[in-house]
Amino acid sequence: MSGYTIIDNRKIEPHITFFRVNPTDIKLTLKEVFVSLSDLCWISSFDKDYHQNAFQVRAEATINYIADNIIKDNADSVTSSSGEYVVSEIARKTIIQEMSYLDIPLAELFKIKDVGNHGFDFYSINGSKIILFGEAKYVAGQNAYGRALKQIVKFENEKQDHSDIADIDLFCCDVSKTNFSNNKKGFVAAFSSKIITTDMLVENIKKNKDFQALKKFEEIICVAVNL
Amino acid sequence: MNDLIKDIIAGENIEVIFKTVLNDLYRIGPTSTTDMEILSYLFLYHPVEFEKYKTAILNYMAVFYKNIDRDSLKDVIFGQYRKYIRDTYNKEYTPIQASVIKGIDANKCFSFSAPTSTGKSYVFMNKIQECQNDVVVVVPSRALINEYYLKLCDLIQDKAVNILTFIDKINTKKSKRNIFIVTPERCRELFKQKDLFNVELFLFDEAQLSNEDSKRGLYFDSIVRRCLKAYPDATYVFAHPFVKNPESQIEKNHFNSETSFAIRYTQKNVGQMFLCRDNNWKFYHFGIDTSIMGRKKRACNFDPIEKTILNNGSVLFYISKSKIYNKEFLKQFDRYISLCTEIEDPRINDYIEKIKLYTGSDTAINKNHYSQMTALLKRGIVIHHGSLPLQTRIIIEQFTKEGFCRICFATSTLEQGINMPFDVVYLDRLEASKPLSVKNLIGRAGRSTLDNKFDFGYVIINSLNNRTKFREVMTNEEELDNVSILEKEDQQDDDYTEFKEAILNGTLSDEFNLTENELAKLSTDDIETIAKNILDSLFIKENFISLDEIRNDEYCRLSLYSHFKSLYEGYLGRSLNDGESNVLNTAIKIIIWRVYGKTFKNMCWYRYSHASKSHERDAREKSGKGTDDLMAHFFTGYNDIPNKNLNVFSLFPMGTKAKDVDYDIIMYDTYDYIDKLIGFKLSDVFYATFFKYFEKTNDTRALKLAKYIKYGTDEERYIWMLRYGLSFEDIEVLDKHIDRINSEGILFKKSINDITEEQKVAIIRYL
Repeated sequence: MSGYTIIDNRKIEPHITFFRVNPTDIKLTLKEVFVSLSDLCWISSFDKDYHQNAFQVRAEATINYIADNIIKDNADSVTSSSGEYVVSEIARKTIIQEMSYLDIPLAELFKIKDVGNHGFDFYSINGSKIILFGEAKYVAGQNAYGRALKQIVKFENEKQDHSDIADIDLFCCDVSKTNFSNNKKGFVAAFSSKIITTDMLVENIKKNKDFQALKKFEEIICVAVNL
Repeated sequence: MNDLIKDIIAGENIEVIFKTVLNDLYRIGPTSTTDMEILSYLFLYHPVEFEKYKTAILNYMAVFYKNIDRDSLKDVIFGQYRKYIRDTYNKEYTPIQASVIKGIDANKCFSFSAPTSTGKSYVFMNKIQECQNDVVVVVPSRALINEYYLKLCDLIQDKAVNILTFIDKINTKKSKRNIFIVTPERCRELFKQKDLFNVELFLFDEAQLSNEDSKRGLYFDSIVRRCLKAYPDATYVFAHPFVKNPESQIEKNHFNSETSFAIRYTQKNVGQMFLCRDNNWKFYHFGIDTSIMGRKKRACNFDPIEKTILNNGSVLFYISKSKIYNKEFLKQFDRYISLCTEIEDPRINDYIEKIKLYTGSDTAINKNHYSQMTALLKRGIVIHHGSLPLQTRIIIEQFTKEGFCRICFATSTLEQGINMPFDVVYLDRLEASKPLSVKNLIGRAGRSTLDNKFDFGYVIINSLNNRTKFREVMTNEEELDNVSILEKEDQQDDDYTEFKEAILNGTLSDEFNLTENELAKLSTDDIETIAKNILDSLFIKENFISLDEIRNDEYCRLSLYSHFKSLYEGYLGRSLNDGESNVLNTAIKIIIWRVYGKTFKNMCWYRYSHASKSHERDAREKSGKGTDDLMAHFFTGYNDIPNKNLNVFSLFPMGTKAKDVDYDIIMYDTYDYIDKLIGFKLSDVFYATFFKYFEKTNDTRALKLAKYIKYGTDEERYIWMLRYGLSFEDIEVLDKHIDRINSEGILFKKSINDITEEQKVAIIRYL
């Protein structure tokens, strides 16, 4: 059970891929994230008894509640934070599954203590050993590609990718790091999308100025998640 | 990130710093001094940015007593845990508080350590309230007894629960169960009556006392073991501040390891930042972990003490007792004292009146009995130390808790865990030799509030050069011994060795608190002769000699003094030197005043009048003469005896003018005599002497004197009142409203309804 189906997969340009994904079970994805986040939280080791027993039952109720809010487009901060995790995780899994790229867990879920300053939400490495930096945006009831692309451009300008490299060093082979130091890198824009045809969505993305700016990089992947 | 104080002040990399510390907080909790330090700097220097992260910070700190929102999925994880705690315990506990409850419930012996301000006392109070049977709380000091007593009385309204500061079986008609709050010494009374009580919970707070290399440390461990033997089915809880190995209590007292559990909590509820100052009172920030916070001190562009006082915060100055006694603190900290103008609030006047009533002090300058300590309260300035009379201490602690205290000048007595947090703690001295005490004191910086904000406090040291020493105190871990001193082969003086052997052999008398050997010394023919001499000199037939005779004998020339001296010498097995004799004579005089029913205030007045030659000054003033050339009387102050090296000394140095005799000093000194010398040493010796003498001779004068020494009265009715927790001051007011009093309860007259609520406080639980 993956909790989503890929309903569209097309090339915008040879080095630019577009996916459209339909979540079939938001709760499943959310639960995976929620459980992983909880595992990392100090409470889980502080009160093992709670974590092993009471947590599961309570988590079900919590996740159901949040997932319902995402479905209903309730735009509060918890919903939007959760929606972003769902978008990140589905996008991350999509490129691993469809493109067989490297599986690196969500940045938030790295089990390494010192990781904390990361800017991007997730990462992967493609077959040509190019590191991809992923950014996810969720906006209740809206297409959020504009925000995702804008954030990527901003981070790239601020050299956030350079500082993030230290965080994911463990996952990167020497070739990928050399590529990165030669400015060979790629980006993944993951975003929530709403009632609009894929053709129209792709057309709109193509017109986006941030998208234009990013085209120069080795690889760009756009993942639209229907939320 | 290796110079964070500089970076934060300069506003560099702020977002990165926030993210890093948030990540730490999320994963390891609020356990790192440095993380809490960083948060304090961020809060202070970047309040706008802090606001963006506030919800996450408070959630990750799990300060669930605050009304925290949830903004993200990660916050929800904490929210869910908070709800779990609320559903399980019906209280807004923090994870640490919930864990303490769980530890107590799941084990026969639970030992833990936690930083100051983790809210353990709230948990204890609830736990004590929940118990169905008797509870014994053991604390190291009478000040802590009172703190527990007041809190429990507030919390437990059910009058069927006796809350007592001695072990006693009273109020039996109404009471279902007892809560005893006692020192280890008072706890011994339990074993004589062990079948009368069904103790469910023993709570040893500030249990690091067991590590004290002294008789008290020995005694503490012996009490723990005797409790365990007498009540093997009870639950035992040991609470400590910062110690590294709370499991030591389990090991050293041989609790069953399978039903015992120990844990060290390091989570903090408040942040702290550390500063030092130069000779010009310029302040500098410095960090504990130099590899993160930076090696250099960084100028702080404001005076944190001044800022705190002006913002209605509170400051604790930890200073030496000598600075309090010689008033040097007034000059040294004048810049802050002068910021505190008089506060117009009737509640403050109420507190001052209470103190005046108890101590007999006056707040009008240049008058006899003027007490600066009392007068300063009007400006929100509190003085707190170990020689402050207990009643006064209770009043000023309530004053502080009610939020009136702006500045507190305190000596180390505050260390004993009295719950008085401050916004600023200033260490005028750094006793690196007592790291646990210093840490405890540092722990007072930062008040945890219910407000939806990050709480932090300032810790300031008095010099730029003490930073390394201070960092060592902060980072060194305190370890308790895993072997009880009862089982250690150590060489100390004979007195200690005899005491230890008596404990090990079970020959320490619970009734008299003396060893078999000591009791034997007090039962010899020689001592009996001396006892008879004392009785003959103190009584005319069955009555005491007149008070006037005592008062007119300024120089202790009455024969009773020399007899008491002989008695004490017989007990010690050596002669007293002149310095020791002077101290003993003063103590005897105070004991006799108590026999005559004189209150603390009366004793202070007598002593002040003598030292300051008040009658002579009055006479001179009336006849228009000056008093400037009149010098203070020679005045023997308190000193611990026996002490072979004690010289003859006067508390007021040569050249002190009679009119300059300080009433505060007289108060502190009188209390030292009563508390430290008479209470802790002499009364046991004298009580045992006269009680034993009575048993042998049936001389009722001896029984009368023994009771006076122990209770301050020989009237059964008053002794009952004392056993119900009334003070002599209370008895003065309440006696006439009590019809009958005995072990079953107090029967009041109807007139009890006519007295004020304030006057009812001491008996409200028995009404």
